Amino acid sequence: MSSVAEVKTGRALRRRKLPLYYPVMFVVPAFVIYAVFFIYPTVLGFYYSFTDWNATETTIRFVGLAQFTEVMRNPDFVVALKNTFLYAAITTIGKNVIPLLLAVLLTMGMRSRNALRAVYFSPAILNIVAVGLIFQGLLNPHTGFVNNLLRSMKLDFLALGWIGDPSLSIYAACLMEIWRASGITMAIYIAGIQNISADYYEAAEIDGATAWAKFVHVTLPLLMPAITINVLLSVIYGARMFEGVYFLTQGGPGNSSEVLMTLVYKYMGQGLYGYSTALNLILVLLIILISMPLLSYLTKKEVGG
Amino acid sequence: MKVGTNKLLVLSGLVATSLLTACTGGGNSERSESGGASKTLKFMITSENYSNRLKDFIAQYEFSSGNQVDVQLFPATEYENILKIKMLSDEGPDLFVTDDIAMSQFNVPQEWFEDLTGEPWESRLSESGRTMIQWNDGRITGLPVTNPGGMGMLYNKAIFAKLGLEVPKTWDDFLAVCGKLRQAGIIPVNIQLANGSEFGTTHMMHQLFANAELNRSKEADRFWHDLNTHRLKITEVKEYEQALEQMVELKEQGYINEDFISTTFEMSQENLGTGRVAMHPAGDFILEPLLAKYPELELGFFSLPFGDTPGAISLYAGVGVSVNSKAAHKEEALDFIRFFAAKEQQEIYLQKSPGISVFADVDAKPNMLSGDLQRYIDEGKAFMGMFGRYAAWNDMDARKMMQEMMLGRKTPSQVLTELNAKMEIVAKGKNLPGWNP
Repeated sequence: MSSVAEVKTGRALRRRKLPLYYPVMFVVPAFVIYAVFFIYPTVLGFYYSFTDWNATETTIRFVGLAQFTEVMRNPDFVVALKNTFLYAAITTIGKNVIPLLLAVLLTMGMRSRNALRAVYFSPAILNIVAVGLIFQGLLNPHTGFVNNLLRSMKLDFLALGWIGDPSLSIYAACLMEIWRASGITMAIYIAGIQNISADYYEAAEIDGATAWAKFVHVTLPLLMPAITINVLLSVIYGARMFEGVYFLTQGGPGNSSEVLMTLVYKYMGQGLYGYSTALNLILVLLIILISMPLLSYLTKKEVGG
Repeated sequence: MKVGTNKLLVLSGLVATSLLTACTGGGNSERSESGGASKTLKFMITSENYSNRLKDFIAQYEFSSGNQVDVQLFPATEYENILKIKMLSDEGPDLFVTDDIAMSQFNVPQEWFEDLTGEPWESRLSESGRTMIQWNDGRITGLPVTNPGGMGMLYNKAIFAKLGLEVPKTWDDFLAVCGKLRQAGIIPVNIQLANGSEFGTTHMMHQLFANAELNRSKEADRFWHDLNTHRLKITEVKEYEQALEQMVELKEQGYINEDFISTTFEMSQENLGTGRVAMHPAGDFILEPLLAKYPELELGFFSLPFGDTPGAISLYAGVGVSVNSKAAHKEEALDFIRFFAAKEQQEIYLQKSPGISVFADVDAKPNMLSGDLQRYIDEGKAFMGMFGRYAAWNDMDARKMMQEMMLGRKTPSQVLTELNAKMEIVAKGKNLPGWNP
């Protein structure tokens, strides 16, 4: 077709308005499924948090903020809230600092980098329930592999209580999560580093930048999109953690490693559905309150690559 | 290419119809009969409790009645939720099981259960059997498919005989026995408090708590009524604090295993079976797995003394089978229960897994603890555990509190105060009378 004809055809196409039902037709089926299986249950869940829905009664009554008041008075709530923040903060730092360093090392020209990448990534493909049970065996204070190894090396002072010590149990859960999930964040960082043009490093080299200066002034700024994703997802995932804590410690000893999601599960299991839904809504609001400003802050730090 | 409007409408209609069909509960309460003389009963049960003897019984029932039993198995972790969904959508089974017959009155809607009081077999229940399976309001709603039993202190008879020890009658006697065991290099009492296995210690707690009812004898019903209506708090029952103080004293005196916080149910069996420990608080439910590993083991059973008295033991009803009040084949389901309650059937059933029976006329094959257990029952020193009488009780909270207490993080008084606060949450959440201001 000649260029003139092409231009005329293009203009004709642009003048012709597409029927509205084209985009609607493509969106509606997916939206219907999304609405039925996500929006509707979510809204219903929010509604139930204002009711006295429980397992022993067949009627459900609207009770306003009563459930939220009861949640605030629960002695376990403060402990779970503190542990949730602690868990999210420690695992976020652990799942980002260490993997970032690993990513930098594994994008250098070492021979075994591919094998090492696979090794560091492999825990991420394990089922978290299995990991929890494995770590139960590893960190058992009396029969666990870790303490037995330390004792055999005459390092008894390092053989701590781990999951049997109320002051350490939540940190044991953090350790498990950092070990399990660092591979995923590492993979994202590796992809991000590989996307940084070598020209920037060459220019820095010419300017006499040291390795540390290159990392701080070239790698980090250009890696911000990856950092944003990893940090945000780590915070949200950490705040919503259930399986990792439950299958390692069941929130124990006592309530020392209880987090908000294990508390939700506990009260759901006791048949207090309205109560546990209220607890869940509080968690959702907290996550939104933390993640929105965090996302805004991190996004502003991103630079064009 | 223009897509016809008709095609779009048809497509949208198909999507909407398929979604609505998926969401429909199918809640037709009037079910058509299957036709003919033979009916098919739906029986929901957890896979863990579908024992061989139950399977044999069902086969016997089918042969005898001509009816069929459709056994629907679900893992214990999913069972309750699936049962709730089915019951709430009027698609419940004819027969279903609950974790504990007595406890079920507090955990699920009571409307689900057909009242079996007045059934022909009810008059054959022993007094203790009735105590085990009766609800607080006097209703009987099920029969046990796992053996009911009692919780107390199991002890290694061989170790006791070797050291010339007698079953203690007072708390001081008990401490003296523990002292002699300790001197002989044997851990006196096994405490099981690993995360997920804390029930091993709440058994001791329940057994000691039973002394509150023993001390109130004829006022016991009033006692439970006051607790259930919040006129009385658990912090005000002196026996409860004394019970917990006794447990703490065991630890302070060094009479328990040092690794209690990591001792699981399996480790407890090993401790008891190998003679590393002399005593373990449990019920006869532990016998089957324990004797499978240590068939030569000889165990006895006694109540942990309470102050200057020998004390009482606590009872549990066991997993029970009940009839759905909205069962499609209710009469056949009731016949199933009647057949199960028959003397001959109960004797065959208990022959396969020895224990005690809830029926007075059933000649049950005893296990090695049945004689001791029956003695406490006959003497009127056996009472249903808190979980079967106290509506606001939550055993999971109690288990966690046992860890806190035995680790020294909370005193018995603090444990009861915090338990009371948690009971209030449960009670208010369930709208129990007397708990909401």
